Amino acid sequence: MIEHLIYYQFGFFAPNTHLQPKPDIIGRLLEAFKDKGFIPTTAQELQQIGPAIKTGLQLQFTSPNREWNLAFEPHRALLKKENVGGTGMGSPEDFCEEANEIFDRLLKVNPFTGTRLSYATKGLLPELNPAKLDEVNKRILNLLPFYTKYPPYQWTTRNVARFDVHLGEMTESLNVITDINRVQGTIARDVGPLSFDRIEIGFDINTYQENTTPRFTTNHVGLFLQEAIKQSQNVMVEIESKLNE
Amino acid sequence: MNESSSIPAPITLSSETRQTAPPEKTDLPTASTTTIEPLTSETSTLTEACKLAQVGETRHQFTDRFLQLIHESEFEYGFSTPADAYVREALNEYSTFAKDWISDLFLKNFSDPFITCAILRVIAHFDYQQMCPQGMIMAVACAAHKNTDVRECCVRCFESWENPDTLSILRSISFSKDWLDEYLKGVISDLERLTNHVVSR
Repeated sequence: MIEHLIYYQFGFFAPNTHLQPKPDIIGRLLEAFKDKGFIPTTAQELQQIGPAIKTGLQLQFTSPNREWNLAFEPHRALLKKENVGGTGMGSPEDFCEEANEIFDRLLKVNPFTGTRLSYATKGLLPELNPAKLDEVNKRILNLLPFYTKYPPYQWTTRNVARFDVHLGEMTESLNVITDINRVQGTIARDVGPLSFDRIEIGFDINTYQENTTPRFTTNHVGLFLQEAIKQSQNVMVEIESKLNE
Repeated sequence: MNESSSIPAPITLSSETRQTAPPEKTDLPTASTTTIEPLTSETSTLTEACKLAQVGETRHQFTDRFLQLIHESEFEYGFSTPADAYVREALNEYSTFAKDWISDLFLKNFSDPFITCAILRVIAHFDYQQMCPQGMIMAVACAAHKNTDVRECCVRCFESWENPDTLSILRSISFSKDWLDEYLKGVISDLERLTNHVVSR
């Protein structure tokens, strides 16, 4: 079970998502998100074009505490909820509901047709004692003799699977990516940074990258997120079961 | 999934675990992963890296000095302050970077009415185009601020800029306080008159 969620993210890929920070565009979006308390802002954007780097501005709408951010990137509108501390991250279903509502409004104002949808999340498992922590990768990996003799204290794994699912009337190829890593770092606390050594779980679930046909509308956002959350929860149950063997 | 509220973010991974993502190019959709970090944290050449590092250093110097001037200055409408002069100098030298630095400082201090008002009062003294789009975005962000003084400063910015392009934004704003809403409507009518004047000429 994830104890510390780092972020949730939903991406709506479409060709025209790079909205310019102009008064009429900002005015329409402000009106659409009036009750959300989002404020417009810009971020410096660097685009690599051949050997050169071109700078530009990226329009974003963010909550004042920076928990929520809606960025209008060149190829996708990206909604991210980050753990800023104190407010709680809620469940994936809560995020799904909020993302659905935000994109419903956004697509009414700017009717993009999506070419790809993505859901990603990352979090840390509760602390394990050192012996149990060393056991984890033995359970999920077939280690080389060297690393059996000298157990690694830091490692990453990534598995990508692809299979078909139904989103309403559509059949979509879905990438399900699971990262299981052992990471060390620090968590910022009021009293100072707290070191940790934990298992990090990340999911990146998205529609097949080679299908670039514009086909996703507002109706597909909720269907996709429900499917992605279901798949991530299925994998999570298997991870827990493996760790508790 | 649960989340323990006892452990607040943010999290910093130790350098060994940080994964360097490939630069995000126009062929982004060819990768199965969608969590590649955007190019904002990437540089392609050493020259570019050095240039950006220098800009980063200058940014800290600018931010520290600007904050210091904000605290030292006495802001009165119609009067220029040393903070204005400092921003003018930075705009001449660093152009859009300087606007980004102000914008970042603004966002970081959004909950502080004193700093937020001070920044708005400074940017109101500049030409709309010179501060665009960051200046306009900072001002409009304050329309929803909890503090009445900050909301008033927001309207004053638009009044001072006298730019009819901002009408679409101003029309999407409304305030619950009557006097502030009246003030906003007054600025909107002035800008509309300005538009009609330009059209009729």
